[in-house]
Amino acid sequence: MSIDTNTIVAPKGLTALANPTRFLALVKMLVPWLAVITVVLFGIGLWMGFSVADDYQQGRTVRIMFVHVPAVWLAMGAYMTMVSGALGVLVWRHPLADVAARAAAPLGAGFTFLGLVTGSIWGRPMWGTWWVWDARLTSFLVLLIIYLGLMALWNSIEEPAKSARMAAVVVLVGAINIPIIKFSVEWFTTLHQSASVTRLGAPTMSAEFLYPLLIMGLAFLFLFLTLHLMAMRNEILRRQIRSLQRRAAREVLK
Amino acid sequence: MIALLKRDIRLALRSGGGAATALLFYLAVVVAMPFAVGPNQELLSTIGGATLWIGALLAGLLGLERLFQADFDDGSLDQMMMSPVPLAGQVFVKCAAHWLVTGLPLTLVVPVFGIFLGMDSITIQAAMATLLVGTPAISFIGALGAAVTVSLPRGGLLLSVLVLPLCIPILIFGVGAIRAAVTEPDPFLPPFLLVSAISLFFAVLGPLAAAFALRQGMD
Amino acid sequence: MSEIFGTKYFGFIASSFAVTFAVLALMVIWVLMTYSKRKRELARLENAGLKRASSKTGASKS
Repeated sequence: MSIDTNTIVAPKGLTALANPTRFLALVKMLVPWLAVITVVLFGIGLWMGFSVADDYQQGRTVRIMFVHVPAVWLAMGAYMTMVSGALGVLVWRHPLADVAARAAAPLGAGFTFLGLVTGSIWGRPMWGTWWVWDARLTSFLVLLIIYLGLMALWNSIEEPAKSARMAAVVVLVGAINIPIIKFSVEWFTTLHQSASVTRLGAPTMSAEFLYPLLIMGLAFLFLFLTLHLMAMRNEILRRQIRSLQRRAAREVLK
Repeated sequence: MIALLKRDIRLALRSGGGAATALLFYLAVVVAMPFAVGPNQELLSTIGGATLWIGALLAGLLGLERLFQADFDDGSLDQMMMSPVPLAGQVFVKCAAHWLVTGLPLTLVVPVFGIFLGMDSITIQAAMATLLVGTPAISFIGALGAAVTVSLPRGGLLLSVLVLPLCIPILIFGVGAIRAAVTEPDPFLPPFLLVSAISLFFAVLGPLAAAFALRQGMD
Repeated sequence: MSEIFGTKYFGFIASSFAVTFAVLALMVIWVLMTYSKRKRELARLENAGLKRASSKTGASKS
């Protein structure tokens, strides 16, 4: 029997998670807690959001901000997760890096879609239009297309190592879009309002709107963390199924 | 490397190559637009710059599929990878060949097409300038997409899906620059310089990433 | 809370929250359903005599 290195020297940090079985065990333990935290955060956030007063400038529709902004934050956060995964594939060759990146893509696409739709709905009463081709909205739409392209790319290459590295390169090149989204409201005069939360210096939003927004942001974040871990687990299962199917095919041919 | 450049150009200019196709496609787009939009001269000249840019983008995409395809098919891709010349350099040369055969001709026919679209001389000059510095970016970004999809069936579709999002900033700035050249208060230089910057940036990143993807694809 | 209803913006607020709930719920459902589908498939394959570890495989099934 080969020496089980896990019992002799437990590897630390991310290397410890490289073993899929350990990772799955970790996921099984974490997911229920993360799910509970998510639900609680959503509860608090929604309650705070609905009990807040009306903004003098934007009226009642300001409440849409409490879902639109977190969706956008997570849309970009999911892409940054893919970027870490891509670096993990190319630089550190971590075995689960590609799993992490692949799992994040559909979730990120969902958040991007949600951000686009809520933004459009919010835009109608605010500025009288469902859509405008300004820099920020366009680059956010581009983000969605990049997500879909990446998902198509991952699905079209069979061999896991190859698809991991190809996709990693595209993820990194496409990452240039993220700063464009973030800073486009500074560089161009656009219809979209400029940053009031994530800026150098204190946020300019008043506390009664800031706190519900931050809580909702955390709620979305924990939702993403929960779903991401579960999606990584799904991806690991998929690979196990594939290798079993290949083994079965070889058995039949013997 | 010069030999590679000459060979690629010769290949593209031959009847099976993409040069004539790209130009004809460009012509088709430019001619179709006035028919679709109608005889409103003012409207036509407004969207003239955009039409030229969209046509250039699509025509460039057409040629990109072929960028590595022939080399992949006849095995010369493997030879390129084993040569002492760095692969990124060879990719750069192929991009240059692609641009000389696709982007440059498209830029040069702008005065003629501009007349079709009812553009005045300032707009035409602005269009030529932005296309001149912007079409190389299409070749360089496209190289990465072509490298990733070279061995895939129906790769051309995926190629477009991957390359188009990355080219949209160029499109925005390029058309913005053309518009700015005509509209008085908007400055022409910033968007124009941005397009040039994007081209330079991808002149480096494109071939490097494409070379990497090509090596990955060959394993 | 009652001030939300009956304003001309109610439709917009309601639809954005509704679409948010729908999209997020769909994401959760998708992840959960994929999980159970894969679990079932793995169990089926393992019952058919295949083992994941490097222990010897059983008699081949056709």
